Amino acid sequence: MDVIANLMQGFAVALAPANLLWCFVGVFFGTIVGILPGLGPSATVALLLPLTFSMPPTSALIMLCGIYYGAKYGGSTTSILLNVPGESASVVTCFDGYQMAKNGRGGAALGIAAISSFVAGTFGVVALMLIAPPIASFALAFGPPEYFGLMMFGLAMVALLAGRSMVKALIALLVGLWLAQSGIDLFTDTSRFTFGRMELLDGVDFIVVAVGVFALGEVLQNIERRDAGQVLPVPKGMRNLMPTLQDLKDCRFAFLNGSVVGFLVGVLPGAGSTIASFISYGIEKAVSRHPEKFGTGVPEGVAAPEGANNAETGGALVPLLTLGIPGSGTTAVLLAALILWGFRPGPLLIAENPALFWGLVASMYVGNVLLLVMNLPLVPLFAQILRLPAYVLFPLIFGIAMVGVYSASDSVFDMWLLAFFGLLGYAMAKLDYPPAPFILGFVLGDPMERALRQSLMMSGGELTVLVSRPLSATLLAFACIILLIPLLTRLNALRLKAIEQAE
Amino acid sequence: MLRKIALWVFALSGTALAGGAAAQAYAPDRPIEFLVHTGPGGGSDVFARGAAAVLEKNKLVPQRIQITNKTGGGGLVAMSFLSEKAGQPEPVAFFTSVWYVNPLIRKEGKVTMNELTPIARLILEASVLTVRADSPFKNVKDFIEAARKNPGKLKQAGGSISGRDNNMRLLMQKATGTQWQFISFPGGGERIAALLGGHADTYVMEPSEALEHIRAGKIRVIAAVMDKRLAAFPDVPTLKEQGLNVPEIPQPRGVVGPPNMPANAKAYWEAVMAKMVKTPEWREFLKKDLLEDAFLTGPALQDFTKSFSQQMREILKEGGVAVVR
Amino acid sequence: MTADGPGPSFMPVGVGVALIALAGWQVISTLLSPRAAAHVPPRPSPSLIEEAGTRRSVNRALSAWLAFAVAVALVKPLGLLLAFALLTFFLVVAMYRQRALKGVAVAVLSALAFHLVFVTALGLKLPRGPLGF
Repeated sequence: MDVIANLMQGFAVALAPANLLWCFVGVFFGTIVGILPGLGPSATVALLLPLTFSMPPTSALIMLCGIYYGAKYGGSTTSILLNVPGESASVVTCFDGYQMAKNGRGGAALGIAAISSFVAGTFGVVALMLIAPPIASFALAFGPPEYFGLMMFGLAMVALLAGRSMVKALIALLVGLWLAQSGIDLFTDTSRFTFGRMELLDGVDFIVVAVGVFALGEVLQNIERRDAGQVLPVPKGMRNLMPTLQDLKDCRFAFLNGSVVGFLVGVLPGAGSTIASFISYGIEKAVSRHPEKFGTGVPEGVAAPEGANNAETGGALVPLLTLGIPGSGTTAVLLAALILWGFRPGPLLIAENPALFWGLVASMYVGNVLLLVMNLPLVPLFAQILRLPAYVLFPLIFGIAMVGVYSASDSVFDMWLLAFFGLLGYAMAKLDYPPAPFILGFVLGDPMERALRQSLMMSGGELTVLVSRPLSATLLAFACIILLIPLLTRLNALRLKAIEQAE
Repeated sequence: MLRKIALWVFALSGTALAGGAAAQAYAPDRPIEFLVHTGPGGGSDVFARGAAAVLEKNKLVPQRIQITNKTGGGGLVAMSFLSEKAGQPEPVAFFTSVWYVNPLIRKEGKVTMNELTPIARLILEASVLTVRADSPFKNVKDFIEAARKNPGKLKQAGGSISGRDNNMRLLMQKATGTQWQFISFPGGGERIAALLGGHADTYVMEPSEALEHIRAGKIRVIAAVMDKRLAAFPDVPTLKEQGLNVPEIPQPRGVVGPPNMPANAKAYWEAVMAKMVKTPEWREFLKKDLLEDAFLTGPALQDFTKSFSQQMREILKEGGVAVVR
Repeated sequence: MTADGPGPSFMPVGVGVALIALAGWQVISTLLSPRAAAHVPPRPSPSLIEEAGTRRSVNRALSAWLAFAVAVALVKPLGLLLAFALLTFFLVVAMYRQRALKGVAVAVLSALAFHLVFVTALGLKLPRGPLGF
């Protein structure tokens, strides 16, 4: 088969000692970048770009892509151990990952994250290799109404993230939606909720909100409790240092879920890995036999979003390599890199540069293996971070938050915002408002509104455009089904209670 | 006694002369900072890196160049950063038309191009009007006719409504008495995807964006938005040639310095840029990216700065965008 | 709703109205059934000591937050690392009630570690204070 032959040639390129080295450099840097909040893969790729001019382009692309998907591995480490999302897509991993760490199973969580990232990352590469061109056409068929359907499907997840009080969850969601509107309105070029401040013209930075609400909120709670000893039980014994076979069995569906959802969402330009992780988490909870345990530390709750954000890198490369269209910030830098190296990204790139494409694909396999091999043994090592006493660890978190936010935006204003969101996160925790819907609203608010207004601009004001197309109607139907789940569960519970009482 | 005084006068004047001589010529003694308002990979960033590569290759500058990205506010953050360095000889920033436009429409902006020190205009970027290859529009006339028959039904993908592509649309609509929809997308990738996927009928894009898709047979260029035909598309007539009497708004790109930049620094960079645009590497760079050389400095540049700002102001007002300066 | 779709105020108004409505409902339902509304977030693991949830402990958390805000204010004049070191010292001594010597040690070592990792190794440009770091 043609694919196998091409792949073999690709491996010949990828396993050349120089390229192997560059792959290792890339994934290593990527992991570190992922660990540090505020330093994202797109900034790092741009930073290293000038170095690549003296390298052969294939090697350079291998290294830069290594950074891209390596960062997704690293982001989960701080999310799980410290509740600090290292990378925007890792925020969903915080939900169950940090809880697992609190339960003493931090090592298992890290292991599950690494394994799931490996499975889904490999899936993403396989899909990229096999179905890139037809998937690209599928992606093009996604117009504004379909994006709206997808975003509503994502927002419907609030029904699954709600916890005890649906009203509070909805309020949190709405506040997130409101926050998302801050900045310049794309369509009319007016400023909304900028309070006259130039720093708010682009809205509020996601890292500021996520680190503030999750990390700082947690720190403040810990200070309130003032447990000066070890903040989290150090995992002891292999059961807690590594995922057990039972864990892996439980996560079977999550691996698949994360892979497929991550890849498909990644293919859509403009839909990012954060959205993919949320949707994957929501689907996992929806099909789970014990949904009420999500949020308390279940391995599937880590496996699904971690898989999704890794498979997304494979997906995001599809429009880049098959159409020359960048789907995200990092792929935009990769596009510029390809142009600077003299390539012409577009529909003919793969056909004209097979060595580049297949070499990259093969090296992504290699890279995923390297990352698994690098990360798994480091799990017990990372878990030892939890040995640090609270009075060392939590000030460190404050510091990492400050440095991370400052390095992302160079402005002290963002640090003030960080302080504000830290307080908000603490208040939300005390008053039992769930942070997950808040972040969900914040992430999806902008794309959802944009898709809605684009759809209405397309149809000249007719709302029916949202349901008249098969794809968007299906997505909206799914959204409605998700919203009805809690209602159905409650009705079912009432029914069972009635039956009990009647007997 | 007199001798002592004379000695002092001599010494002092010598120092003054030497100091003055030192103040005459400017040369960068630290790594040079190029400021751009886009993130890495963005249009300005790529352009600045291209220029830096040409400068370094031809050893036109004594120090290495590094690019500083100050994104945000559509260029306002970069402009504000530049204005904070008033009176200093660096950094040197790369401007585009948004540096002219955004301060006019956003009250959050703090400085306009008139207060900064424009050093040189380097290029004018044309744009091309494109449609899908399988669409029935072979030229602009077809498109306008279709728009006339179906007012408000055709769709154009583009950026924000204060952007160049919407300005073109408004001018074209006014000149022909037709109307079609404009749909904003945040990035070039999504706009092209909308065109290719059939969600929009036309898109005003940069020639370099268009090349690859034309080569693959996916899109067709129906007009060149420039005052003359583009070298890369010799068979594509301009808007004027096809009967549309609208002013073209090419995108200028150039370099600008902080407010009150020292005169010798400004002269230094003017000279360096003048040398750069004559090098074969620069010409190659322009050719590859389909950019039109439009080198301009000095008083002619000042006139351009004034007239371009005014032109933008009028176009924005006509388009219904609120102008605050 | 025009041919150009809803304007820029559509979402803000919609979200605002929904927020007010839901907030009102929340207030009313809390007033009507105070027992059901006394949701206390689940106690964290039983090994933790002391008085979570009391006024004193909440005040403690709030003062820690205030210290953070002060540290942010000090970033420009004193430099990020120095502000961070001061914050660490305050937290260790005043919040976690450790000895002053421990506070100094943790503050200095943490700031040093940050300097090595972020400034020296990664080359990030952090705000500098009068002491040069």
